[in-house]
Amino acid sequence: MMTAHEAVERFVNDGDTVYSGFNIISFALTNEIIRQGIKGLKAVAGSVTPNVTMMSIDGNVNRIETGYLSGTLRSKPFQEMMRDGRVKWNDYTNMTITLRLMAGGLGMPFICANSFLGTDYLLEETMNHSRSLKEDRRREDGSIAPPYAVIDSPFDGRKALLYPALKPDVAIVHCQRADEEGNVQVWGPQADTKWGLWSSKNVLVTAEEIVPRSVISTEPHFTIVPGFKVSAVIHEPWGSHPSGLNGYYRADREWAGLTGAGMTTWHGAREYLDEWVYGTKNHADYITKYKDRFGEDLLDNLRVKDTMAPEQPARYGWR
Amino acid sequence: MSINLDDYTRAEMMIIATARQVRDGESSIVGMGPPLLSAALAKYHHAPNMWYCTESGPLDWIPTSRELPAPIGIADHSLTQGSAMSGDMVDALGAFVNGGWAQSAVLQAAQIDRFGNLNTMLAGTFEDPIRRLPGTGGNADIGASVERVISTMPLETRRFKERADFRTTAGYIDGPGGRAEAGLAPQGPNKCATTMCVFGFDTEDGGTTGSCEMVLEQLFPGVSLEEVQTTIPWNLKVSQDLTYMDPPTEEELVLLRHLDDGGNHLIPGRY
Repeated sequence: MMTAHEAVERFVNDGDTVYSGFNIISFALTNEIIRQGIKGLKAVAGSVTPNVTMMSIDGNVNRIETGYLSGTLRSKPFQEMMRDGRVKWNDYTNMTITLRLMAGGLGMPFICANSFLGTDYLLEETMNHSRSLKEDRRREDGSIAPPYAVIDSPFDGRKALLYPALKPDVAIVHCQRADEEGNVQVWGPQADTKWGLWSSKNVLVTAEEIVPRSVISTEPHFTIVPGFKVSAVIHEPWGSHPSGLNGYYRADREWAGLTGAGMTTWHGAREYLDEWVYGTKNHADYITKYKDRFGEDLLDNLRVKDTMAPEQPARYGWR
Repeated sequence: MSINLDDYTRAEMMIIATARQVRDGESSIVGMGPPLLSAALAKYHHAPNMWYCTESGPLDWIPTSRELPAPIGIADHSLTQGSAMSGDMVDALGAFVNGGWAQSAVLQAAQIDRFGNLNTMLAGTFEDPIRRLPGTGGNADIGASVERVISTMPLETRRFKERADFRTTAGYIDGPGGRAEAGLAPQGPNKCATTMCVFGFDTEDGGTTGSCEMVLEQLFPGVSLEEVQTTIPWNLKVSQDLTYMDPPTEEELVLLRHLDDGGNHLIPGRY
């Protein structure tokens, strides 16, 4: 157990590759990375989301490998930086990023999928466009490795497309609950989360609730990575606000709209970051500020009321 | 509830026409936005036994109540209300789609071309885009492996191209034999439902023979052949069996307006 401040200070370094989350986003850790002024991160995820837009404004993130820019293109600053090369990227897909993380997690050098066969992803001008991540792919002999490659299968001679394994330096993610050992429990659609955590060298997790090990052990099927894989577990209620958390709260659409609106212009982004990120000490402070500004009701109204608790929970037993 | 059956928009007709392409009993991977709305309409209306799956991991979504609006995003929390399985992307796009178990896909795209290739990457050229778009999401993964693609987008000249500005998702590529040459399995019958009409593709065997070109098959009520032809920038093939599609039924319209949840999906001006 530690604070988000301690976790980011200890485990996130300039230039790291960071698994930034797909559908369970830790805005608590996102905001802390911005506060600490970490620079030059590469964000990877099946889809990158508005937390990556926020981290791009002051150069915390300047490189991206993803299948989808989710909501990020509403930001004129982000579009501008993609155009002038301040943000560099290569394009993949939801599945191929997930499989690349899986390969990283499984210790494989690459993985095979046919997603780009017959498409313009295979053109030289796509793979090595002027703002692509060529430098990240430079081999020891100075040549540039391709971002993916077509081979003839040695087994049946048919075309096969290989994607290199992804092994991020650090993962940041939010979860429903964890215990103090860092056993991470997640439910709902998981996208690439599990493999983002297995493949990353260091895993930082904010948890909505910290529960005893005995709670974890009655429902071990919800654990997506075991405690030894997790470098830091942080208790952070509302840790994914303004995005949602399945079973706990809905996305704060009005606030996300405000955030999104803030990020659409340089001026708006500056004002938002100065007030809500640099202007708050930590996530608890951010939530307190939100309540002071808008009242308790706004947050309370986001809480999920129909939590669908099981009538017949899974039962374990051995004698 | 009584509604005026003459008073519907072309965007609503696009969703209804897309839903009508979805067959009962088939397994389907459904993309975000209008596809989620169309497939939800199909599921409530005529395809209660379709397998409705989205790429972030919910498998076999059966809405627990007819009061629920359609999901908007592929990881929408409402998709776990009534799903048989809450998996991840390896389950959904990996095992279900690439493993060959998805019989159809419902996808939106920014552009489609003469041979049914989809584009969700950019308008213009890669080095100097007029507009960068979000990227493929799962469309490329799905287009490579699914048996049949139902695509949907408004009929506008900037969206219908002789060749897509960027091919993110393989259709018939450059024509007959294109898929096989690229290393992909046959696919079809593919459809594209728009705000004016429904297109098919000229191939009987999933892309080996025939011209593999887009073919106008059905016009919406009140739309003229000329209106479609002048929007399409190449010499469009027209089916010898060109028909008019039936207008929306009362049940379809009432369901659609409920599922659209006060216009959250069909944002005016965008469709």
